[in-house]
Amino acid sequence: MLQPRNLIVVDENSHVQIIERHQSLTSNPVLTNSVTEIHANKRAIVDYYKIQNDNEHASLIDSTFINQKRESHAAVHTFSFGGKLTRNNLNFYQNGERIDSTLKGVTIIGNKQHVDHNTLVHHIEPNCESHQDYKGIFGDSSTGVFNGKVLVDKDAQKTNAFQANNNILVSDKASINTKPQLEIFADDVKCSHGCTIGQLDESAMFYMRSRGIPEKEAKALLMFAFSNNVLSSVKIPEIKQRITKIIAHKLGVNIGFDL
Amino acid sequence: MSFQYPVEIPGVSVTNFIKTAINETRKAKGLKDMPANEMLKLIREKAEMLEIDRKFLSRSLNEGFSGGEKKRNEIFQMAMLEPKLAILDETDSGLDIDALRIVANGVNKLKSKDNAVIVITHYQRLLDYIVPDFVHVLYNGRIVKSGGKELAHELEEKGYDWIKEEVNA
Repeated sequence: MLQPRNLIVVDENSHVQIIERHQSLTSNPVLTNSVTEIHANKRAIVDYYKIQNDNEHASLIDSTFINQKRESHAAVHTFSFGGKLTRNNLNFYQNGERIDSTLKGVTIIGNKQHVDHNTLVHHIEPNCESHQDYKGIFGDSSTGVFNGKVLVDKDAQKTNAFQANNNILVSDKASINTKPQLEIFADDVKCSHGCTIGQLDESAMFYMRSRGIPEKEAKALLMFAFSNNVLSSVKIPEIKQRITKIIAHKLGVNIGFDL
Repeated sequence: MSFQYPVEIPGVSVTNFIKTAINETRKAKGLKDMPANEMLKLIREKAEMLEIDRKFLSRSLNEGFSGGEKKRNEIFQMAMLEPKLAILDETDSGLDIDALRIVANGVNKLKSKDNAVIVITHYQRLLDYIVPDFVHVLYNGRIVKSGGKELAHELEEKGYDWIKEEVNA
């Protein structure tokens, strides 16, 4: 059992890119309980990437707290592909005006894996934005949870908050529980949310197969297209490449998704 | 096979799609993947032939395409994949006159002695551009009459009734 504790302070006008990855080297069961605290001061830019691709004996509880000051931008991308049980608690607190928060994630799991996303964005002051976009693909008997909370205080007028959670279930035994939770106390805000659960588009599959693309590859291409929205906002090209490679490997195909 | 109403696939670009399709068919034939530069050259060549804009190729497959663009994209895929047998299902529906000419020219250029194209249509207009070797009339799931290109002209003049009578007699 590991309990890492990270404290990150990003000073005024600075820009930081951070990649976090947990990897166990043996197949012994392991539990990581990680807490990360980030303070983004005035006009700071924080770009945080979490790649969760550990083996299937490892469990992870990840709690991240981000405190933002005025005009700061913070983005967290969470890519969950591995692990036995993964729980992500992601909390954003907007203490200042014109703050921008981005929370995005791609989850692709199978077997008996479980991934849990618990997000909170607390809008405290006016003229701020938050964007949430989580995509999930669940195979075999895997389960997923998305619980997205957006809290808009009475003073936080002109808030723009978006939340989307789209899921594809590839097998009959997979399940996803998704719950948007919006608590709005201000009266001049724009808050939207949407969640979908579906299967892969059969007619699209047929179309691709009629062009000579085998079923497995066609599926992979569709799944990749599905998660592309999240990938397109990744600012480090090497990460994007690495993620596409992991996805291709995860889906058991050998095709390039680039271009 | 070219569809009457091609499916929209958001997130998959035309180039990406065609690249995957080509490499997978090559794999099935036991060939190696096509090198990227060769692929790009081929794409550019065929796109030029069908008067397709470069920007078009990086858009999501069929998403928000107009009727003409969809059909042109179908023919573009046919040009890239070079199938032995292509079935074009009402390729002329939803096309304006210029698009029809471009699509038909594309089909004509792809025609060779090694492949076959089955064109399904209701109108002579398309056949003015793509001159058929054989014309078959399908009725109640069977081919009831076959002939050369003259048969299409005859149909255009007289309609289908006389064939129905002939079949029912």
